[in-house]
Amino acid sequence: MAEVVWTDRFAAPLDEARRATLGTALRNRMLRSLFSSRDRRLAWILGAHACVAWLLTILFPAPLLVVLPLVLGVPHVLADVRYLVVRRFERRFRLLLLLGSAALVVVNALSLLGARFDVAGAEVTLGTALVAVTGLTALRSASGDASIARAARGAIVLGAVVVLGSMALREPRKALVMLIHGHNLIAIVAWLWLFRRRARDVLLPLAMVAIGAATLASGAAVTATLHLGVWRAFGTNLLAAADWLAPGVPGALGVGLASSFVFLQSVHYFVWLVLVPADAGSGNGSASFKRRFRDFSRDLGVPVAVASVAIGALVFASGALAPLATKNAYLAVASFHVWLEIAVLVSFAAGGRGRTLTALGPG
Amino acid sequence: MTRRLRVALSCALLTFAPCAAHADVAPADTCTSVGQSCQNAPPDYHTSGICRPSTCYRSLPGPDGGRRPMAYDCTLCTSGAGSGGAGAGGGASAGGSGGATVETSGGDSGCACVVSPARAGGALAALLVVMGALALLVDRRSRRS
Repeated sequence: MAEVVWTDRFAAPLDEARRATLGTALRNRMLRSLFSSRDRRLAWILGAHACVAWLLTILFPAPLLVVLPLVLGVPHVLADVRYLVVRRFERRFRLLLLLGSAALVVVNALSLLGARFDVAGAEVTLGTALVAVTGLTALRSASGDASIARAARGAIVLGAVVVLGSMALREPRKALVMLIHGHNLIAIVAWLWLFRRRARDVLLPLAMVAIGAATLASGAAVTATLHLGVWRAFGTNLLAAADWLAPGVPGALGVGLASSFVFLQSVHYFVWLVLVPADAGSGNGSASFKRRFRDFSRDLGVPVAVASVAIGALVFASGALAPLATKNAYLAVASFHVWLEIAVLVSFAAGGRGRTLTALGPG
Repeated sequence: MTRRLRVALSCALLTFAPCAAHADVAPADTCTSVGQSCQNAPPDYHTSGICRPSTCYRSLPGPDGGRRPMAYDCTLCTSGAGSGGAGAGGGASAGGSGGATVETSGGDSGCACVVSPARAGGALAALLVVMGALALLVDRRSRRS
């Protein structure tokens, strides 16, 4: 019970502020109807987030590119691990995913430490292997349900992994660039598929996200960004980001793709930090901080939870001193979670959504 | 095969197919972290090198509606150890070659100490890995006991 006391102490002032804010907000009839339904609430806040993120991407792309990963990067990876792995998989699967993730972390950490080898090739090889092995394990564990349809589905999913994996291995750098972009969308797919009960309620805000991403990717807002926005900050700039986020794409279109990435990255963080936790919980209301902190501690265990908070604080502090270097280091080390998300989705696609699930407690 | 799966497979293929379709586009010699090793140095963009600061150009629409080349700081993978030499070309930039290589410290703080940002990032990465491993070890022990 020690962890409960520890987390409760931190939660108390936050919950007091939450109670006061909600108390004020609920006096308004419109806000009350909004907050009383989870579906309505999430649809509205996703729509609002899409609008604000779109505007901020046009005006402050360079600061967002660097600061968002420093502030929200570690918390979102933790949410990813908690909601996708810890709560959903049995011990054997967790160990498999942990080993694969550790190998990916080591490869990228070695490259940061100056080791000379084909980092992209090594990452794509390890990542593809992780996805394939996880998919195979899920398929094997589901073989008790000897339905032909399920076996066919598993075979098709694994076949797709082999085809796409071999394509990625031929051009690992390009594959990684595509993964960087695709990974922002994977979060939305995972949310809708694994956590959302009714996707229909959020179709409008999702359409807003799609339109926002498309308008930015078209390059239509690049002139406005270059003349009104902060496109140089923290030792980097949007045009340099376009070189590695859209290699080979010339002119405004390449810069537009980089802007679109910044926008979708913020949506990605929003999905893992707000939408998934909300939909993983029970009931219509939002959970108190006391509840959230207890769940966090219970899911990860006290030592890992404490270390996670310390790692987040370390990245934040290091980011304050050397933003760009820290951001690059964080992105390299955290790239394992991109493969982790794919591995989890592939395992569910191959083995069935319900098969590998353990009994879930309330979120 | 269910309809949903067919759609998912088509989406996946559409996402990844451009990897093969655009294989003829020359890979860029861009890199992300100054001082870090890279594998895409020119002339063949498969040579190992070091990521160094440079200046690149990109053709962009101007306020008058016309196009003009815009210079910006970038990082390019350059082969060879010494002073870095000329970046053989910003492959991603429409304007062509990156031209003169600017040898700056590349650090964020402007201190005189010679610490490569990639090294600093590496140290941070190593620290993060060690912290994570320690936490997992402690967690396993506490769960056993």
